[in-house]
Amino acid sequence: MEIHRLFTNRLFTPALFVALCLVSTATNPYLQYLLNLILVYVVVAVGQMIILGFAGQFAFANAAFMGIGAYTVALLGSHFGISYWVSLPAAGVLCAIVGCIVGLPALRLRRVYLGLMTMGFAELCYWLFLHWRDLTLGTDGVKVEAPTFFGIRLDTDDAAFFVIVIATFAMVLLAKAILASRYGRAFIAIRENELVARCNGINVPLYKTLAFTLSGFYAGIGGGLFALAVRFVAPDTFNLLQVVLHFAIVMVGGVGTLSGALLGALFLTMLPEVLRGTQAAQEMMYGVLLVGVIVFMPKGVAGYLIERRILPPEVLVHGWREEVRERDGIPQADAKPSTAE
Amino acid sequence: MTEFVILVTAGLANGSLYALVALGLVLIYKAQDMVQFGFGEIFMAGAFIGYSAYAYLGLSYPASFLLAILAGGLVGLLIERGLIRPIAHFPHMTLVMVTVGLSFMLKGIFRIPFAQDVYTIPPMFGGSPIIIFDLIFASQNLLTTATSLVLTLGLLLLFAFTDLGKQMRATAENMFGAQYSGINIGLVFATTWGLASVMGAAAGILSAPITALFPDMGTRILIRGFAAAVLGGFGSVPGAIVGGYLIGVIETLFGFYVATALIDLSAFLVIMVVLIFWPRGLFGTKEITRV
Amino acid sequence: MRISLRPTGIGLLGKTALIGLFAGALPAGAMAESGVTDTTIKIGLFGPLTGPAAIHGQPVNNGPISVYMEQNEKGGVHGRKFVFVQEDSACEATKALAAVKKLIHQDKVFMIHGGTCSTAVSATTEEVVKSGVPHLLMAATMDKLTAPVKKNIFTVQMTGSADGRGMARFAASIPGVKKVAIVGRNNDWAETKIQPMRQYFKEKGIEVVARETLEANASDATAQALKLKKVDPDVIILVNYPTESATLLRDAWKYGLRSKSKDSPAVIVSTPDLLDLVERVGNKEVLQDLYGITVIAGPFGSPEMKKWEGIRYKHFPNDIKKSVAYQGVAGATVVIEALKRVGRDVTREKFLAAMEGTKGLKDHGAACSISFSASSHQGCNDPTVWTLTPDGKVVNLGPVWRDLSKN
Repeated sequence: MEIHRLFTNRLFTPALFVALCLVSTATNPYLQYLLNLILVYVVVAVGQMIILGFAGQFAFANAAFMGIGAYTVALLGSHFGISYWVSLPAAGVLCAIVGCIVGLPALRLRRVYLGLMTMGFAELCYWLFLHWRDLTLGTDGVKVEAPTFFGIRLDTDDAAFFVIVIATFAMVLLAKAILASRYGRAFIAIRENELVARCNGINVPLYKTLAFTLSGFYAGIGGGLFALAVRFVAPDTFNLLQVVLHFAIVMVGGVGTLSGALLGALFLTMLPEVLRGTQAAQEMMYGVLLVGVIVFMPKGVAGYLIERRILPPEVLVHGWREEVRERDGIPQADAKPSTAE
Repeated sequence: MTEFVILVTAGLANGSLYALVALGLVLIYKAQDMVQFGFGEIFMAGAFIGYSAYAYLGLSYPASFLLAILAGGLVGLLIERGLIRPIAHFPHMTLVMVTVGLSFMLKGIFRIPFAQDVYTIPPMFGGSPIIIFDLIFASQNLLTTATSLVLTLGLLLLFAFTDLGKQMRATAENMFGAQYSGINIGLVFATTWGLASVMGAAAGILSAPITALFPDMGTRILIRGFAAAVLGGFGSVPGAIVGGYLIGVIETLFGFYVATALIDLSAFLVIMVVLIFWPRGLFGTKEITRV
Repeated sequence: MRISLRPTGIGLLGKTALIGLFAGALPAGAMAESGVTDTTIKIGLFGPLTGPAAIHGQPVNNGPISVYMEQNEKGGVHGRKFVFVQEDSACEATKALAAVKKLIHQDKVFMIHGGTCSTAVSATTEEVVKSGVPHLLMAATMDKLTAPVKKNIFTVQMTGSADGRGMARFAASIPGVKKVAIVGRNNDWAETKIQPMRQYFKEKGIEVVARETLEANASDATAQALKLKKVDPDVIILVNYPTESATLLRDAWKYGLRSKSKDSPAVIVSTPDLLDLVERVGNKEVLQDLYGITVIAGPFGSPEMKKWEGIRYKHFPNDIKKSVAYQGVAGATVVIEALKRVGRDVTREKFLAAMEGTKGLKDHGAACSISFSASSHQGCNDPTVWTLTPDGKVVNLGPVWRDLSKN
C-alpha cells in the first residue's frame, strides 16, 4: 500500500488548496479562525524549521521576529494608514534584516549559548513591545485594520482565509524551492557537521547568515498574516510561551522536514482547542501529550510517518521525482538526469 | 554609600538562591550535556511540597524544609530514571524538548490544587531586622543565605572528597572513558539529577517565606539561574555559584541606580551582553572542537 | 495504489468558482435568537482558567455562577434556568478571541458574561460588536472596553480611571498631604489607574515625587524602598496586587521608609484584603495607616456581605475568602433583574434594552448603586476605602479619609 505516492503526485498541491477552500466554506467563524491560525503557524513554523531543523542552529528568536512582523503590519496600518499589501512584505523584509543582525553574534555561538542568547533577544523584544508604549501602545494592544481588495473590506474570517491560504501556499512552495537548491543542502551540511561543511568549501558564515535572514523573513510574513487572522496585536502574545510553541511545533512536527512544519503547526494549534474540555487540567494534559509524542515519535510526527512510508521521504534535490517515476516505469514528459540523495 | 551596601546585601541574599538554581542547572549540563528546562518547576515543586507540609500536615519549618528537599530530590531521581534514561540516546534537541514538556506537566499538575491564590509561609523569624554596623539584615534572609552556603559547601566537599563525587567528575569529563573505567554511569546520572533537584527544591522552600508561592514561580528563577550560569561560564560549578550572587547584586543595583522598570529585564540583558562579548563567562573554558 | 496522471476534473474554471464561493461568503451578521430554549438560558463565560492569571479565572467566575445557581433553585427566571459554558482565555489575546468565537458561533450562547484580562478582552471587542451578542464584562477594568459606548457591551466592574481617581481623591483628603509617590506594575492595568491619578493630583496642586515599578510577584523591593526614602513622600500609592504589595510593605518597614513615627507615610493599596496582607507580611506593625480601595459591599462577615458569602459557599464550599473572589459577582444580579423585566418572551434586543434601563440597582454584592444609560454602560464607578483599626478589625471608611479615633 503506497500511500506516500498520493503526496508525490503533481496534483496533490492544487488538490489540497481546493480541499482547504471547500472546507473553509463549511466552517463557522470559530473553526475558520482556527484554520487561519493553523495556516499562519505553518508559515511561522517554516521559519523556525529552516533555522533549527535544516541549518541546525539552536536559535529561538523566531517568536520575536513574528512579533516584530505583526507589530509592523499593525502599526503601519493604524499609525500611517499604509495598506496591508505594502505592510505585509515590508514586515517580511524588516524581519529578514533583523534576522540577519541577530545572526551575526550567532556566528560565534553554539548550542546552549546560542539558544540562551536568542531567547534573551526574544525576551528583550517582548519587554520592548510591553514598555515602549509610545511606539507599540503597550498592553493596550493595536487593532489591525482590515485590508481592502479593490474596495471590498476583508474583515471576516472567511475573507482573511482568502489572503492567508494563498500566502501560505506561496511561502511553502518558495521554501520547498529554496531548500531543494544548493542553499538547502548547504544548510543541512552545516547542521550535520560544521567543520566538514567548511572543509567541503561551504562558506559557513555566509550560509548561516542566510539561514537567519530567511527564517526572519518567514517569521515576519507569518507575523503579518497573524495580524490579519487575529486583527489585534498585543505584547503578551509574544512572550516565552510563543518561543516554546515554535520550538515544540518543529520538534513535534519532525525536525528537518517541511511536512514537519505543516504537521506540527496543525497539531499544536489544534491541541489547546481540543483540550478545552479538560478545563483546569488543560496545561497538564498539554505537557503530557507533548512529552508523549516526543518520546514515542522522536523524529516527530512527520519523521514517524516517513518511516512508516505514509509520507514520502523529503529528498532535497530537484528532479528526484522524475527519477523515481522513471524507476517505477511511469511515463513522463521531461526526464532529467539527476542524482538521488 | 550606605545605600550601596544595603543594595549589595539584599542582592547577595537573593543571589544565594539564584546560585543554588544555577548550580543545579550546571550539574545536569556537565553530566549529560543537556539543559533541564523543567528545572524551574523542580524549584516550584519543592516550594509547594514544603508549603503543603507546613500548612496541611502542620510540620515545623525545618521539618518542612527537609521533607521538601528530599521530595524534590526524589522527583529528580524519578524523572531521570523513568523519563530521561530510556531516551538518553535521542538527539539533544529532543531531550531538551522533553524537559520543556515536563515543565508544562509539572506546572499544570500544581496548578490544579493551587490555582486559587498566591500562597505564603510566614517568615521563620519575623520581627525587626538585625542591624550590624549600619547594615540591615532581615533575619530570614540571613537564614536563607546561610543555608544556601551550607548546601553549596556540602556539594563542593562531596565532589572533592568522596568516591561518588570523583566518579561524577570523571563522568562529566568523559562519559565513555568513565564507563570503561568501570564507573556505573547510570548511578552517576541518577545521583546528579537527584542532587541537582535537591538544590532546586531547597532554593524553592528557602524562597517560600520571602517570596510568594504560585505555579509560575519557576520561570522567573530559571531565567536567573541561566543568567548566573552564563555569567559564570556554563559548565563551571564555581562559576555558577559566583554568577548567582553576582546576578542578585546586579539586579538590585540596576534597579536602584538605573530604573526599577528594568529589574525584570536585567537577567536577560546580562545573558545577551555576556554571550555577545564574553561567551566563555568568568570561569568557563574554551571549547575545543574535535574533528 | 496507482494514481492516474491524467488531469482530473477540476480545472481553472472550477477553482475560480470555488474561490468565488468562499470569498463572497456572507459575513456573520447579528444572529437570530440562540441560547434560549423553553426551559434554559445559556450563558457563556470566559476568563483565565489556566495560565499565570488563573487566580482571577475560576475564582472570579464562580461568584456570578453561584448567584445564577441560587436563582436556578428558585426556579430560574420566568421558568428558564441558567446553563453555563466556560471557556479559557489563558489571559492571552489569541486564545480569548478563540474562546469568544467558540461561545458565539459554536456553543451558541444567549449572552456572554466574562472577560477579566483587559488586553485579551480588547481583542474580542470587534467580534462581539459584530455579532450583537450581549456581553457583560466580568472583571476587566480597561476604560476603552466600554467607552465610547458599544450597544451590546456593559460592565459593572469599576473602571481603571474611576479606581485611580478614587485612590487619588482619598490620598488628597488625608490632611497635610503635599507629596505623593506612586508605585505600580508596568502594565495597562496599572496605567489606566495611574494616568487619571496624576491628572487629579495636578489639579489639586499635589506633587507626584516618584513613579517606581514593582513587578508582579516581586520578592524584593529594596531598590524601590530606598528610592522612595530619598523622596520622602507623605503618601505612597501602591498599584499592585497583594503579593508584591506585601513585599513592599515589608521592605519599607525594614529599611525605615515606614516606621512608628508620626511622619511615616500612609499607604493606599489596590486591594481591600488587609487581613490577608497582615498574614503575608507576618508583622502587624507594618500595617498601620494602611488603606485599601474596593467596590465590594463590605468586609467579610459584615451584614452587607453575609448574604453573598452564604450563596457563594453554599455552591462552592472550597472557594477562598478573598476579595478577588467577589469581583464581578454584582453582574449576575444585574442580568437576573434585567431578564425579569424582559418577561417570558426573551430576545437579545429586549435584553439589551432592559440592561440599559437598569437604574439604581442595589443589593448585588458591590458597594455602589448600579445604573446604565444610553450614554454610559459603566454601571459602578464609586469606590470606597477600607482600613484596619488598631485592634485589627477591617472597617469601611468611605471615599474620603476621616480620623477614626474621633469617630
